[in-house]
Amino acid sequence: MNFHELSRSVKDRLVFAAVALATLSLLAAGAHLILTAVVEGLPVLLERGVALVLEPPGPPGGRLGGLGPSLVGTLVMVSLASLAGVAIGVPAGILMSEYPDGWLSRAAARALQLIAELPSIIVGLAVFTLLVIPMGRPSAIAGAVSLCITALPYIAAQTRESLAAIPLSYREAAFSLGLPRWKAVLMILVPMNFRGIATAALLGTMRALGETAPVLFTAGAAFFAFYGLDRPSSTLSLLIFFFAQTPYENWKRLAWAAVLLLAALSMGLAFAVRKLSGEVRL
Amino acid sequence: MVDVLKIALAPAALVLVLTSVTIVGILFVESLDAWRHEGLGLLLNADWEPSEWERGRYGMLAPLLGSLLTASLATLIAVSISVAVAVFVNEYAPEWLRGLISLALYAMAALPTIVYGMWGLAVVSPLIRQSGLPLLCARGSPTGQSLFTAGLVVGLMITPFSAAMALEAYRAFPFTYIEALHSLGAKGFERARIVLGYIKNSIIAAAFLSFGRAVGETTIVALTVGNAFNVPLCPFEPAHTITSVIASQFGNAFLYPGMQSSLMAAALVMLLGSSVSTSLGLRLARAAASRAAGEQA
Repeated sequence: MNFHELSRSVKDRLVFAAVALATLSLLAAGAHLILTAVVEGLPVLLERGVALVLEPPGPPGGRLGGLGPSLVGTLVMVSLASLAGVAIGVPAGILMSEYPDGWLSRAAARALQLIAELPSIIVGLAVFTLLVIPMGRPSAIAGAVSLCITALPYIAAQTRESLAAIPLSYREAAFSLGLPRWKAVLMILVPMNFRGIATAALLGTMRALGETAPVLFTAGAAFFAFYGLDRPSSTLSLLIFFFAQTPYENWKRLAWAAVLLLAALSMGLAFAVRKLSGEVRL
Repeated sequence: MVDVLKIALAPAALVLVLTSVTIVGILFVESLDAWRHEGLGLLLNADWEPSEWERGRYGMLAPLLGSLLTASLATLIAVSISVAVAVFVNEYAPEWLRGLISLALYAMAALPTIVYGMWGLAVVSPLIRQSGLPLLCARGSPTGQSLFTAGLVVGLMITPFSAAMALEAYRAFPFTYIEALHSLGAKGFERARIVLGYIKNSIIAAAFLSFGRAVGETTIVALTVGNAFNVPLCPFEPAHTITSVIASQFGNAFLYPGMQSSLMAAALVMLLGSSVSTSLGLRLARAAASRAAGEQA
């Protein structure tokens, strides 16, 4: 083996070692993150059991308590956001896929891209100005609006992509039945694409569930009770954000329990999406 | 003939358009006051002097630099790991491992940012503190929360997304060329060098998109950057980014004349930066994809 061959082999091994190490450290960081959430969060889940979802958090530095009010707030805000997101995002997605050249479709596509790329804290600032100031206080409804805006582009884009993926021959068959266009689209193409729409809804829900920044100034920080739609509320992600920064041991443990819950829910949704539609760009 | 479908769908699309216009419009209107008083000086001075009685000074230089540095570091980390993952998966990894890696990346991409933030605060920051690295800086962070910590955790959070782009671009490299390279006896790193040269533009696109995402990241940064109004000179110092200033100050900003408007102005600048970066990235990605499709045809 001459010198040139040897140096090639050595270089190849070195590159292999470098890229393997980089990949491994990324996966190790991911694994460490999830393991820490399990190690820190699971004992709290086991210790509190059902009480965790029913009770409010304990006093600072005192007994553990639970995540009840924040769970209710999350459930309320995320469901409202997802429902409204589907109600707006799905029709907008259908429009963009059926009339891609109309001015409204093109404007909507632009808007969709803008909102999708928007730093999500900005959504919070806008909703703060439009809703929180006039209402005089943060509220579950303002939080839901913020989350809806962050979820919207994902729902609309996924709807558009999935409809655009229907083979042309199916489309031709649907239109050749002589139905008016709205019937052909809404009664044949859209139901045919039920999986795509369901995927869009799940992706939107996942987005709404995971976001913290948009609700930071809109949902309030009421961790101890749920007061109603037009009153301050909280989400699991907000609870983590605030409790993690306190020095109280019991609140930090609650934050870890919430981290574990959120991670499990998000992954559950992500893998449901994968099951429905295969590999989807998150 | 009246198109019933179009009329039925139009309101939803209109809502989408109005939402985006409203958001940008609010930032403009709400930041006017700050622009009128300070002009571009707002971005060029580093004096943070809040006052409840008169208009204070809310210079955004430190957070602006903090944002740029944190996002650059995060992008550097994300892109280099992504390239490494793409090379490893395509040139070296056995078949069974490839599926596993893509599954792990998908799972990491699904995790909410607050999960990364909590991990960054409770695990990474103490690690940085114990490592002694902050001692290298004059104003090194006593808690481990620093520019570097934020950049690292944000970088790890973005990596699954940029890795997905790098993997996709790598896979789009024409298979006949790969066969040709193998038949010449090219080793893994030689194949990788040629493929990476070919998909260079897709990688640059991924970098721009990553930067756009990193600039706007709030949750992780607010928990890990250390929240200090220093002009960042050393990576292990606590600092502020535009997002962390907003997250930590906006809640009480109404008490201080001029602060709210200054924060809105900073948000507008950040929006501009992140959307320029993202649009460049998308444009490059599209050009690269259509080029790849052309070669394959």
